Amino acid sequence: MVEVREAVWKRHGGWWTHNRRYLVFMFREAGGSLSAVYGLILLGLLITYSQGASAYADYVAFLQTPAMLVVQALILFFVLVHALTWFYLIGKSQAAMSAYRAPPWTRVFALMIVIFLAASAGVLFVVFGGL
Amino acid sequence: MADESAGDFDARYNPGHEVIRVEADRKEGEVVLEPFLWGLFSLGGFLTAFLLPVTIVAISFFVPLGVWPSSRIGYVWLQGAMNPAAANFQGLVVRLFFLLAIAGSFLHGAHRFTYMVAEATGHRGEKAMSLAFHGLAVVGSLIALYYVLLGWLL
Repeated sequence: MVEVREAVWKRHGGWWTHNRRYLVFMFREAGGSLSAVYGLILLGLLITYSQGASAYADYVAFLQTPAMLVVQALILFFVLVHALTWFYLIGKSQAAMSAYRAPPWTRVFALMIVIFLAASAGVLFVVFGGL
Repeated sequence: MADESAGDFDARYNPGHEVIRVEADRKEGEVVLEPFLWGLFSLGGFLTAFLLPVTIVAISFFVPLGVWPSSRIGYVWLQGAMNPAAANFQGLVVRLFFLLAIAGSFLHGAHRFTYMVAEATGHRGEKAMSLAFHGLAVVGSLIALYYVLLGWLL
């Protein structure tokens, strides 16, 4: 009789550092997580706005200090990785889920980029009053 | 049982979908909260991907880079942009934009952070983390809702 042993599967804590695809996966996760940090920054903008012009100006000046600019540049980088890799995955996953009857991922990715640029232009014009 | 030969093979057959249909019939231990949270996470991810990059560039970098004068993101700008009586409902659209951008990023970030930490550490304390971070995201979204309504309905 063959003895069947139960193997307990354990994953090493730094598993995602050994493969470029896993690293990008974790970068995308980080981008999603860091988006919440920028949500806090936007919430701070609304809170200080409600406190008056002086509090708002102090807050905006704080956001423009070198240390905060570095933090926001990192957030922007990871948020862009999050968005662009997600657009890429939409095309890839549609192909797999539809038994490869979906359009090529490059076409889906290009369409997502067009929508992304249109949405960005919309935000610039409606919220910020144009470029 | 039908006799299957290589000639009967249908490339459109997707065994993954068959499995999902079978599992959907099971009633025991139905998961209710997880799909709801996943839906919020997905919606938040959509909003975050489309709205946040341009917002970060405009608010955080256009003034320091000299693209815009500081008045473009100053107090008077926000006062005008959030004015509910503004033409073409701009004030209401801008308030809705802030709510969606903040709540979307919180709900998406909570989910991503929970699973990022869980994946990196071997899923230790995943349930407690999920409750804590999703709870914080909901509280943060309600605070954002309060400040969005302030000066309009409150």
